[in-house]
Amino acid sequence: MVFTVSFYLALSICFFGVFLRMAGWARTEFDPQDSVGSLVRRLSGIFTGSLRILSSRRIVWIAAALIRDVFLQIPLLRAGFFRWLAHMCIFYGFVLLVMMHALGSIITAFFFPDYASTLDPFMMLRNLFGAMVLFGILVAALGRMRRNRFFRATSRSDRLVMFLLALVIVSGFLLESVQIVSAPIFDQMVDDYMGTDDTEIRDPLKAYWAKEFYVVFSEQPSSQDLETGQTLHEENCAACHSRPGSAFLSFSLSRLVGPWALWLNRVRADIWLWYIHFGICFVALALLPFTKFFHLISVPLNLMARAGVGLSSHPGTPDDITRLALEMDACTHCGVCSLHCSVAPIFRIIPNTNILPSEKLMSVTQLAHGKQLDATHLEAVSEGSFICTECFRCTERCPSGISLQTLWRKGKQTLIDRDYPDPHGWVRQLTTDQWADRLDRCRDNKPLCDTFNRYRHAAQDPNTFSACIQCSICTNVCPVVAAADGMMPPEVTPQQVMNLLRLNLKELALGSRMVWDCVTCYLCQEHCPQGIRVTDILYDLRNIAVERLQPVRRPSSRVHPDGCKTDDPHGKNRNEVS
Amino acid sequence: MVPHSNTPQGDAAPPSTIKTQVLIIGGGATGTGLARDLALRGVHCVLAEKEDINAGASGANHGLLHSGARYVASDIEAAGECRVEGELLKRLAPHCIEETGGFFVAVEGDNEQYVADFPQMCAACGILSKEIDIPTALELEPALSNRLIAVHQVADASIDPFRLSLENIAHAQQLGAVFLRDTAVVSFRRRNGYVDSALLRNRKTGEETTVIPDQVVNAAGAWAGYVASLADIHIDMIYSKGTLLVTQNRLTQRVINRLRPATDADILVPGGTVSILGTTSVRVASPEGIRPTVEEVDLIIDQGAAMAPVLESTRYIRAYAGVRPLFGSQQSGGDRTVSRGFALLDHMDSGINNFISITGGKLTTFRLMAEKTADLVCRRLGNSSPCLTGTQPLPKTEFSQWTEPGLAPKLWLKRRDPTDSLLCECDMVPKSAVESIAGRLSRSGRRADLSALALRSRIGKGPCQGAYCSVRVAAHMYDIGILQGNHGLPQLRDFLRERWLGQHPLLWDLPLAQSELMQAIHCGFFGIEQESITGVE
Amino acid sequence: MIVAENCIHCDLLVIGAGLAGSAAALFAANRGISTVLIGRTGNLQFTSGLLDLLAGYPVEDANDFSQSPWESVARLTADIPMHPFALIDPPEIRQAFTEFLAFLSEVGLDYYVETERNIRIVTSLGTLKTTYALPTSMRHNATALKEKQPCLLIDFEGLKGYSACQIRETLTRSWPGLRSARVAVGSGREYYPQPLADELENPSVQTDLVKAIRQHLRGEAFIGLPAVLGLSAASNVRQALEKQLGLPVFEIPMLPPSLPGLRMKEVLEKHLSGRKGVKTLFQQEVLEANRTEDQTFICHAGPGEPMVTIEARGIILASGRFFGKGLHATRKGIRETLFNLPVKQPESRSLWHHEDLLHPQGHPINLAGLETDKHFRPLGNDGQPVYRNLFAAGTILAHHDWMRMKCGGGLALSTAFGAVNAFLKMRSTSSN
Repeated sequence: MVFTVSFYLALSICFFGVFLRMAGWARTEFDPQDSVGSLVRRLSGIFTGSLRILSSRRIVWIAAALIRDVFLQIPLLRAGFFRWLAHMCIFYGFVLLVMMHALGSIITAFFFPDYASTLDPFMMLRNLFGAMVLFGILVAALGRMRRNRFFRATSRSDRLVMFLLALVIVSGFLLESVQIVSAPIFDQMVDDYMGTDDTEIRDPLKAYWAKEFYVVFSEQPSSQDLETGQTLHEENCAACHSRPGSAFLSFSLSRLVGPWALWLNRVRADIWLWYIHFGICFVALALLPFTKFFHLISVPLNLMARAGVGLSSHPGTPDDITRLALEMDACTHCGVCSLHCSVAPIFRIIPNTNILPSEKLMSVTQLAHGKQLDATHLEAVSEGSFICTECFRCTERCPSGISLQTLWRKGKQTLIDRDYPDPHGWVRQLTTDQWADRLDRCRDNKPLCDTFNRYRHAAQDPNTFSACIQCSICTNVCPVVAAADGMMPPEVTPQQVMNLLRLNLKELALGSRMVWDCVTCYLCQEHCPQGIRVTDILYDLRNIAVERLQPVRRPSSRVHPDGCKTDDPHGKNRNEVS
Repeated sequence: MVPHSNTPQGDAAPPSTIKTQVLIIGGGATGTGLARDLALRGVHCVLAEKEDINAGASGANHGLLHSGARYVASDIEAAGECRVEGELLKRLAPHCIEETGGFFVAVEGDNEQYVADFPQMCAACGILSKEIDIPTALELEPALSNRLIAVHQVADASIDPFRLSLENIAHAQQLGAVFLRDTAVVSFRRRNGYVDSALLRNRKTGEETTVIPDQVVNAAGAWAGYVASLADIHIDMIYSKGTLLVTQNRLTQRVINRLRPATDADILVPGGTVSILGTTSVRVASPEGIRPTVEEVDLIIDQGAAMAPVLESTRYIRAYAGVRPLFGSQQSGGDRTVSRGFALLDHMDSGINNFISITGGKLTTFRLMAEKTADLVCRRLGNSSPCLTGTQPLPKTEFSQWTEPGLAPKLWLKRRDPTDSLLCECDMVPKSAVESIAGRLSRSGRRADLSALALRSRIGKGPCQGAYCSVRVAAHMYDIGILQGNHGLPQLRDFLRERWLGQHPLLWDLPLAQSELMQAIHCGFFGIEQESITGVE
Repeated sequence: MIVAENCIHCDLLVIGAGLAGSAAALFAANRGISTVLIGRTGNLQFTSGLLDLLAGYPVEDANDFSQSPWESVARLTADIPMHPFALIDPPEIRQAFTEFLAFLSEVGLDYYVETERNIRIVTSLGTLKTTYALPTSMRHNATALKEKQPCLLIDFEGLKGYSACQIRETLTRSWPGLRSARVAVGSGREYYPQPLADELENPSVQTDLVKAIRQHLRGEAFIGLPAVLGLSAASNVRQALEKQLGLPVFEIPMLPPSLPGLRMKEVLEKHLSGRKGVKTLFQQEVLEANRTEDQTFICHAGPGEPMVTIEARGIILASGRFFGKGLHATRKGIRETLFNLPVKQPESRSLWHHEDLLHPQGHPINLAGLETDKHFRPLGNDGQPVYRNLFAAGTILAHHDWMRMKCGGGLALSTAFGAVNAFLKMRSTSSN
């Protein structure tokens, strides 16, 4: 009774959760501004879309993907053998357990009419599958300990899932081992299947089971007539019971618990463990949509969707957004992307986790779900997003087949819309002199430059630029100057930046466009007859500028009201985030 | 009262005649200050300057607004005056002053007794001084030597003498005063105990002007003796030459004084983006044609390096020399012991009743000197209106602002006009600045020339010392029509020559290379040293 | 023994890639000497692109246009036997010019010479520049000036330091036929010479320019433009303009960094590197030079890793003066920067310069430099050559004031020529 109720409860929670997640895909919208269609429209989009694809020739590709990516998990194999091994063990071990054991009465019994969980080979297989899962979990755990090069990819939900799995299996084994030694169960079965209380008849069987099946009885059976016991066994039990030895794990476990067997029998540990085992199973089932378990559904779906639709169907369309939502859910946070990310090394210098794709994706997901992140978080995401070179390696490597590129672009777009563009973007919101004014108003006396030592102080040590003889060759060769559009505010030329520094007008130098427009082609530096490190200085200034301008760029740091309203299209956004 | 040119009458009358109440001779700090003082009292005056604003000692000094502490030992009276005037100017002319504060520093080997007495001496003159511990001092001024033995903080400040005089004369002109640039006194006509007219000649155009004044004030600074002699008056003058060096970068935030009895090269004054190191004191026979010499430069650097070692290696962009007009009979002892107080002479004893000489003194006390002179003048004119320069703030004019280092780039970037390109790259002076100055000059009567523009801006004051900007500015002057005919070349020569005077004693290392480039361009290529280079004989 | 891979063996190492150094490398290559040329080429941008020989002597009448440069040279060498020109026969000077100009025209940079006389052209300052060899783009400048032809001077919106009006005003009394006009190229923004030159290589910009100029034409015979008519395609630009305008067009040299100098720099960099027998290490410099007992020089050059090592049987030092960093001055005195060779110089710093910038005699320090024997070998304090296989050429030499005598080009070419020949002589004597 309790069993059925809790089972169906868990099941319904699970289904409801899954539905929620799927509905979530249909509700996701990166930007409140752009309309992505009603919920119904999106849901129908999902189904019609899937139907269209499934009915098209693409079905073949999907099938292929199913075999290659889902059954054989080739992408994981590319990510590393042990990853693959662990994942295969857990995946197949567990799936087979579910089919052969959990759903034994339905599936197994269908194929083998005289199926009984205590018969071989089922008993042996169950142990085998259980062992596989445990082994997989072990490998995975070890792998995680070994792998974390830059960061800890392992999240809490990650550990929870592994823990639950382990618990299910271990509790199963414990249960079985206790059942092996359990006298009460023996008695009950005898009652059920022999229907006699005559100890004369019972005892031989009892003796036989005590000897051959290692059941532990409180009082020794009087008769030791094993032949009779065997015949009785043949008649009544053999049909459903193989020798416990083949349940290699549980059996050895049962030998371990042997000494406490009597006590265990007395407290009916078998029953308790039985409840625990199934309890955990149901919990896991109920949690499936809300934990990493969900990737059992989202990843295969995503891999197949990718096979069916390709990386990104029609960028910007509601269905595409839905698609992106699915992809975000397909992330197992395995960290493979971060391991192969081409800008990940920057993380060593700028400790901003949002540089790492696996971490950035979580922020982007929050953005996508319209979460209001605080200013500092948004700045971190912005920094991480705009350091990304979209080199495509993450997308290529992702075992879940997520097209991260698309997500990054979408994320950048959202950041820009929320007024968190890259420095090259926001530095243009003010002109050189406006920046200078702001810096003047909020001076900080911390040393100007805390960036890479390589460029350190190039912009602050007069010896680096005071050798200038004002020949203006640096300006003459500068491609940025040559390309400058006459309608822009006066471009401060490289020579003029040097002079601003010499004139001790650092604030003007920092705000100047040239610092940002410089393409670091090094022509100026190579041509300077005095060997002044013009480009290095500009580069240094750029690094300083990020540090110095960032804090004063928001109107909140505005000292008097006029500030820069005119250059501030997103005034409202700013006020709420800052 | 407004001047009226009157038509020639009787014997060959001079081309133009100006009648005025007071003729001031000398456009230095005192002269311009006096012009303003008188104008404020409603007295009309004509200021004749043989060159341009601050051509003498007023333009060739540290630009140091003394707290007075420097004179506590040698000249208590002067020290007191400095204290009072300094505080007053900080209040009334803040736009000409940077309140840097000052350090008096002593290094190993300096006179310990003097160091010990210094605080009391300051106190005696009511000058605030505060002892600073060495580590703090070094933290505040890293350029200082680590061989310091004592540091005292005082209220010294740096002042822009050009801005100051330009603002003074600008205000005076606004109140009706007349300013004649390049105009020297040729002669005075004395008639029964009065100078009844003065003949002036423009040194560039040669045109002559007669001024008919009620009173004449001789504020010619070091040239006071000469001017007086034109009126057959003898003044005892001592000419003490001082040489100063300008560094390319600002080395300290504060004024740094050597804490010892005043002697050579013991003051380092920050002036905007540069620092000025000086000075020497060399007795010279006449104020004419004095130049900084290589020997002085070496002396100054060696002495200064004891105070701030960086002075040994830093890049210098300019040296200049001025003559201190010291008044007093030649007594023995260094010129620094001669009073730096000023002398106001009414010359009654020489039998002239409307000729006053004001000389001596120092930049910090210019206003006081002007006030005392104006008082005397007004007494003689029977004008009883009080002096206002002690209470009325000095107005700020847009036209005088361009001498401030680092201002031009700020305004230029604010304007954001893509066609307004920089003519001087070193100090980033744009066309618009040149035009505003030129406009003002031509409105005040005479057309701007290259040197006049340079004097009123930062043009030619940067590392290139005019090599590039001279050409660019000249070209632009032709474009906007303030230069015509073949006057460009002579002006270019004058300008570069004038720059050179301040360069050649400093030419080693980088500046030498820079000057070589300059000569390669202007002599090697343009050939401006050849008088007949335009083919127009 | 030095590591082979970044070690270069050569007969002759030329230190300094200015005019003298480049010429030396060229002359050496032409004589089958395996040569390495090392140095910064940047300073060529400061040259006017004109090649002076000697504008006149004595310096007071360095503008006396009537003089034949060769007579001047004769008089000069007679009066100042220490002058570098005195170390070479005039025919050799001619040869140096011929050989160098031949190379330039071979690589597409044509010069115009009137062998027996100087040429005179107008500068952007309105002054008259007397020179010997002239980029053909300026040839009509000379013609127009000589015949005082009616001439339209054009200047550009946003190109600072150049005013056609200034040139007209300055010269108008002697040349009434001058008129001036300002035109805009592209947007009226500020232009720097090199970007402007690039822009002018664009045909559509040329047509716009022609249109603009036409509006100002009042039957002038010549059109004068600032020397910014194209960089690598300079001659095409000028021809295109002439073709469309139907009038001779000429360039007026202006404040450096100048295009004519830049053109020279470009061709020298490009075609010396390609030259047979020459290896170039541009924008590098010799940081340290040693000499083995068998008199080979071993030089370490940088910047950059791995440091290059050059093994040479002889060196021509053409590292220039103070601006070129061949000489360096402190408050105490002047020294040669690489070998610390004795430098002939005034006794004290106070004698380095006159108080008058434009003193007719020029400044004594400009006569300072290396004294050499007649084989261009710098002399030691004992009056003997310091090394038998070290030669010097160009402005680093003493007893010339090229800026006043207007003999920079001639000095560079002829001393380079002389030094290379001296090296040949040295090699032949030592080999047998």
